Amino acid sequence: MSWFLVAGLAVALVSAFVVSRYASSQPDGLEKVAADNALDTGEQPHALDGAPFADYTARSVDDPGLATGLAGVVGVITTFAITLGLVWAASRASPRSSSRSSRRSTRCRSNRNRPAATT
Amino acid sequence: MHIPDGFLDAQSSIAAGVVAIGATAASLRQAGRDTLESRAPMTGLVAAFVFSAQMLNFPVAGGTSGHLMGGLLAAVLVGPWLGALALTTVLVVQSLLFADGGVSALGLNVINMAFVPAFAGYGLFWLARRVLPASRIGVMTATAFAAFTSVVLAAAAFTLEFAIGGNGAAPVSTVAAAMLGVHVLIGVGEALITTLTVGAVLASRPDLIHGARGIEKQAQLSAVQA
Repeated sequence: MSWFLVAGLAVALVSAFVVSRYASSQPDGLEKVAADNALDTGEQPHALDGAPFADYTARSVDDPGLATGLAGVVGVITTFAITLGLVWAASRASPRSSSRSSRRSTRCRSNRNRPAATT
Repeated sequence: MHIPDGFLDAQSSIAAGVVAIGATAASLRQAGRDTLESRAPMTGLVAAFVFSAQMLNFPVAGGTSGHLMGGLLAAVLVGPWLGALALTTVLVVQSLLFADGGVSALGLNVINMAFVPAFAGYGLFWLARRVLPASRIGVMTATAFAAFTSVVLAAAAFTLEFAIGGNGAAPVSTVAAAMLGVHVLIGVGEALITTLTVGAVLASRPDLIHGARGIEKQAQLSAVQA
């Protein structure tokens, strides 16, 4: 898992930092349909429009490509960390079911075996 | 397909928010029941990858762009419950940190882009896998079909929400035709990116793919027989 995780995160970081500046800036499907059919008559500006990374742009950076790239890196790290933490915490918060305890013992066994198997 | 604030009326947005919170709570409970801590890094990676890919808008016809939605990809990789959780995190971060997708529309966006693709889309993937061979090609074909359909279903979900609580005056049939028309094209991009990604993971670590569990056994079986 570890090399795969590192490689996957590297792909996500590189595409967020480098490739994002070449993304199309045309309206997306919903925006286009909304503009064509006046679905946006009630649209309000986003409540967090002034946020430091609003619209995937680091406000404090002048170069537009770099501003987008940095916002992308912040987003990749944030989504990774929050999801990791959420799933980890949810799987730790143990409901007291019997299947859970039997699985836990298998997990402990496999954990005990793992260092021996990898070293 | 991120809905901004004010596209739908307050009642519909709040109702969607309640549904989305309930669905997220159920996913967390399910994750607590079924998930080993060792799945947490992979789920985090899926969220990070989808966030990154969603930044890469590709042009489609008529001055419009699309990007990967990623809900079906997430569900194939880590299963529908964890996949929906990963997408929910992405959507919340996009709304609160990047001002993409209205805060009041968060429930709508979570339903359309996390739960519809992760459950309806994954259901179609599961059905397709049952009729297709238990091979890499079978998994990739099911992935392509379900990824494409998941985008069309998300567009249909938006149209339904617009019909219930849209603030615009356009006829629902017009909105339906326009939404489905453009998202059929975006769905082709979704199918392409999703299938390439699943193909890459199949080639390197097939054991990490929730939706490919059958082919592992198949491969072991044929290895034993050989």
